[in-house]
Amino acid sequence: MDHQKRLLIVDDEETLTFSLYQTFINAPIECEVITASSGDDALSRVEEKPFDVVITDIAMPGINGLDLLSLIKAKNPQTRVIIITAYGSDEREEQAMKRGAEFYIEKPFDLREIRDLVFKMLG
Amino acid sequence: MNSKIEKQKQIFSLLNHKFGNLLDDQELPLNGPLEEESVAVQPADQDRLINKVYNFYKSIIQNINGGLITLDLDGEITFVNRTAAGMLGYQVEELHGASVDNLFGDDPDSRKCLRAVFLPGKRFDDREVTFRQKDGKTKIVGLSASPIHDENNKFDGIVLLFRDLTEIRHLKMQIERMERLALLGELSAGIAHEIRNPLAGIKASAQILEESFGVDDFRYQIVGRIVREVDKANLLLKEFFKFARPTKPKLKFHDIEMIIDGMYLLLAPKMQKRNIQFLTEFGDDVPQAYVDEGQLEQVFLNLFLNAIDAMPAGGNLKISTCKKRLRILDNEKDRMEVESDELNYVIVEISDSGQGIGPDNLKKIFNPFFTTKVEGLGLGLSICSRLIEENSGKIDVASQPDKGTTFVVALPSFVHN
Repeated sequence: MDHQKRLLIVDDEETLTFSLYQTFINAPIECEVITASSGDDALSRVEEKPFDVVITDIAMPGINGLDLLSLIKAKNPQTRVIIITAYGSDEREEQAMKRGAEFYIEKPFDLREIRDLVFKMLG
Repeated sequence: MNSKIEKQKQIFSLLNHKFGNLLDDQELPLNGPLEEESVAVQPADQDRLINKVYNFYKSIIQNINGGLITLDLDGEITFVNRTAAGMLGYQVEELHGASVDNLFGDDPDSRKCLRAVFLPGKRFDDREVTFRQKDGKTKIVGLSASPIHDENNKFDGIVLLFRDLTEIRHLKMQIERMERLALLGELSAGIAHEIRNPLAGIKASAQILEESFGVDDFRYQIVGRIVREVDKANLLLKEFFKFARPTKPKLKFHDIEMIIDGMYLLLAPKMQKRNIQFLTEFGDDVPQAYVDEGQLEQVFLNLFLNAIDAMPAGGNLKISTCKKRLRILDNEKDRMEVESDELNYVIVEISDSGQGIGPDNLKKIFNPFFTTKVEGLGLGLSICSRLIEENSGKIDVASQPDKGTTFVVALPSFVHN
C-alpha cells in the first residue's frame, strides 16, 4: 500500500516558507506538507518520520542546510533533497551535489519551476 | 676653479695625515672643522691620493640606488648622478645647468615642497612628491633635502636625494584594493542573505497571486510587474556578485584569437547594423594564454559591446594581438608562484574610433556602478578588470575624446596558480 507522501520545507524566511506551504497544500496531489524554520527543527521532524522530499535553505540558525542534507541522507538515503539558497556559488553547488542533493536552486526562483520538480519527485 | 682644486688637495692631504689610508672603512668627518696644520706630503702622493679618493666617492655617488642632485641657490642643477638622470629619463649632461623647477610636478604638494627646499637650514626626509620625467610623465618619489654650507657656514646650495616610489605606491594600491575586494566579498554574502531571501519571498507570493487572477484582470498585470521588478533587482545583484566574488577561474591554455573570433560571430549582425567594421591584426607568433575561456569570453564581449556603444554613427573596431615580455612585481611573483621576473604575455589591443572618454571619466572607468549610459548598471568594466585580475592579467585604457578608446589587455602565457 502506498504511504502518504511527505514534503518538508525548511527556511528561516517566513514569507517564503508560507508561500511554498500554500503552493503545495493547495496543489492537486495527496501530500502532507510540514514546515520548519531552522535546521534543528527540521532534523527533529526528520527523526520522527522520514520525508519523500525536503526543500531546504542553506544559511539558517543552528544546523546549516548542507549538514542537514548529509544527516537526512545518512538516515533516509531515499529522501530527495532540493537546496534553495540566496548565496549561490559553484563550490557550494558542488558540495551540495556531492552530499546527495538532487537540485541546487538560487533564490529568488520561479515558483512554477520548483513546483514542477516536486510534483515529479512525488510521482 | 684652480683655487677649488687647491683647496681640495689641502683638505685631502690633511685628512690623509690625520686618518691614514682613506680607502679603509673609516667614517670621514667631511663636515667637521679642519685644523690649520701644515703637513709635509709629497706632491706625487697627493695627486694619486686625490684621484683615488675622487674616484672612490664618484663611484659611490654615481652608483647608489637613489637619485642625487645638488643645486645652487638659484635652483640651477650643479651635479646629478646617473641614477637620478636615468630615473627621470635624461642623460646626465642634459640636466647639468638646468633649472630644478622643471623637475618638480605641478601638483600643489610638489610645488610647496620645491619652495621649502630653498628655505635656509631646511631639511626634510622622504617626503612624497611627484617629479616630471623627460617624456612628460610623472613619477612619485620619496625626496630628502638638506642644505650645503660653504667654508664660512653660509647657506650655499642644496642636496636632493630621492628614490622611486612608483612600485611601492603601486604595490600599496594593489594591497589596498585586494583588502577592499576581500571585504566586498564578505559583504556580498551578507547582501545576498539579507536581500535575495526577501526577494524570494516576494516573488513566490506574487506568483501565487498571479495565478489566482485571470489574464485579463488588471491585478494580474500588477502582480506580474512585481515579479519582473524582483527579477530586475536580482539581475543587478547577480552582476554585482560577479564583481564582488567572481568564480575561481578554470585555467587552461587557449587561443585568444579563437575566443575573439567567437565573440565577433556573436556580435557580427549588431556591428553590421551599426555600420561598424571589424578589423583584426593578429600577430604571427602569438602564444596561447593560460586563462579561463568563459571568463575571457565575458571580458571580450563586454569590451566589444562598449566599443559598439561608443560608435553610434559607425566606425572601426580594430583588434590586434602580439606577444610581449613583461616585468612582474615581486608580490605578483609570489601570488602566481612563478620564478622569473619577466614573462610572456599575450597582448590584445581593442581600439574603437568612437567618441572617446574624457580624462575625468577615464579615471573612474573601472569603478563599480560608474556609468555614463542611460540604461547601464556600470558594472561591465569593473567585472572585466576583476576577471582579468583573477586570471593574473592586466588591463589598461587610453582614450582621446572624439578620436576613440583603446583597451590593452595583457594575458599570461604561462602556468600560474
